[in-house]
Amino acid sequence: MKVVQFEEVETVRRSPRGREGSLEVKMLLTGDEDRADNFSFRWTDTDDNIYSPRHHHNFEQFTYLLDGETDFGNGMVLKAGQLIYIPEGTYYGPLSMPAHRRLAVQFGGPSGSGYLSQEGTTRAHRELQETGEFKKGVYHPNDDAGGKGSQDSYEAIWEHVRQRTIVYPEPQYGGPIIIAPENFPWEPVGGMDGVHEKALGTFSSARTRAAKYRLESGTKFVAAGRGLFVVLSGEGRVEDQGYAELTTVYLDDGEEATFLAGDETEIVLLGLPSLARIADEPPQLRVSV
Amino acid sequence: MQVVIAPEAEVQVQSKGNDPRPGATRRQILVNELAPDGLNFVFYRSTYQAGDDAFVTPRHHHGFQQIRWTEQGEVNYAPGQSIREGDIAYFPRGAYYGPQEKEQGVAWLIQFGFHGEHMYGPAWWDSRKEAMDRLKAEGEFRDGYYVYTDSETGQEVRRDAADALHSTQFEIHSGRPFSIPPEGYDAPILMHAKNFGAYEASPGVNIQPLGNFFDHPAPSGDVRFSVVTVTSNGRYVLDPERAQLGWSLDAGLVIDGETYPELTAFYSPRDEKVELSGSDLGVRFHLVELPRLD
Repeated sequence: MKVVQFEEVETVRRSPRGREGSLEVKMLLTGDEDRADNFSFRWTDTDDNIYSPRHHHNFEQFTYLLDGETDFGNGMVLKAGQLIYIPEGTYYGPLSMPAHRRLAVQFGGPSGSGYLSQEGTTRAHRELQETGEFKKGVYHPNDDAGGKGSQDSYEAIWEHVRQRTIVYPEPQYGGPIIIAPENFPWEPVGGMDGVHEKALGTFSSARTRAAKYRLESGTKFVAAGRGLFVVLSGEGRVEDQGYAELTTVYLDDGEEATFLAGDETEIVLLGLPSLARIADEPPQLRVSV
Repeated sequence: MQVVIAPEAEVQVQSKGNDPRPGATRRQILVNELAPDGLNFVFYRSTYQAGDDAFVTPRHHHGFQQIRWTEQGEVNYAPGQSIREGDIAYFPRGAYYGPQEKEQGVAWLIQFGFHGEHMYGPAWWDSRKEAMDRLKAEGEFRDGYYVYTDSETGQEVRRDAADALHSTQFEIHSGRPFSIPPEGYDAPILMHAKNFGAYEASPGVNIQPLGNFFDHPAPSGDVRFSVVTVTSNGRYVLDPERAQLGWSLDAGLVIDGETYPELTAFYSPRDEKVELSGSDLGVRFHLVELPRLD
């Protein structure tokens, strides 16, 4: 279990790696790069100059919008308080986002493709700039750089880190799934008086969950299962620490954390898949014969 | 337990005079249920026709949930969006889709709801007929719309035909206004079943979980999708806690000791415990675990 206090994490202003635009970011939590269930969880305050072409990834994502509104292409609009699940392999974009604040977790999905570390991504981004240019979400290598031509920025970074051709998993879903929690009713959680849940779904063959919880003042909530429990509002205590807005509790498989709500509290669960449900071998390059 | 070998089910041609939608779709009703807990569903197989006989609708939404699986071909559900052969899609309550033009392919559909969200079967025939008669007296069904003239403005009004029928039917039946809830998921969820990983649930039983989606409150308000593969030495028990629908993709599904061919549909109501088995080569079947509200 890890507890991260939002205010204690440094805010950095930068460009998204390989994408157009600028943002402020707090890297709240990261996983273990050597594990297929590695993840990166961040808060961003995004300017209105972000652009990304239509693309896909070999990892999965949840984005929870704290305020504003943003688009994911093809008319998909995410509003404040809504959640989007982007499965591995599915295309989305182009993105030309209005200003907004979000919570986002990117994580290794059921295919076993894993997820690059932030350090590796940053290093590769810097090294690739020596042999080419990132422009509007696409990496253009210099004429004398050899190798491939222009390609999606993240794809170029991934291949530079892994030193092999990226293979995208076949998508399990037809596209991203937008979830509107405001339209789900609260349901009492059995055995926990004063605790209510909105179960928002279980996704992919890795059975990744999403949910919201509302804790009445003075109640106790025992959180369990792998994922990020993020406090959206309210104050209280979790285990031996205080919690406030955007305090995040990461639980691994088999772990629990007890929240004691000082006042009414709302929590969003961004679930993470368990290693047991992730493929041992990532997808391989198909060789023609 | 009800078991139906789908290709052998009676074929009905969509009736142009008695259906709010255009088309001459060939339909085979596999199972229709109004259960004691208020669950109402119809499970059917549709063979779509081309040209003037195509099934077309405007963009619309429903107060019930739908599941569509394409057996053959590619079945459209919105511009540029189709359910390809072997894929399955979940249509949440309230989520808009379409306009659609279903002019080819064979698809299986489950439409379901609770306490009047879905209105199908003998308990609803009288109110359906009365609603159709009332609507036809005041307007006409045209191109998937119900078209009538507003008595106050004199303007022509177009409304989705199914929405007009369902709301009128519900009001006649219950005396209360009909409403479609706002969507929890913003669009249909398309699942490419073959791309989902499998895990061994027990010896001879592998499961591909496709997703659980909540259109009713937890803890049991979700609809659960999976593909199960069972061999001759495997046993899969349909949980009596929920009503379940399924259909086999391969020959050799064994239900209560009897062996069935591919494309066999089954319905296991709540409180029934049924054991399924397969062949030496393994038998795949889709399984849909329906919600319960209590």
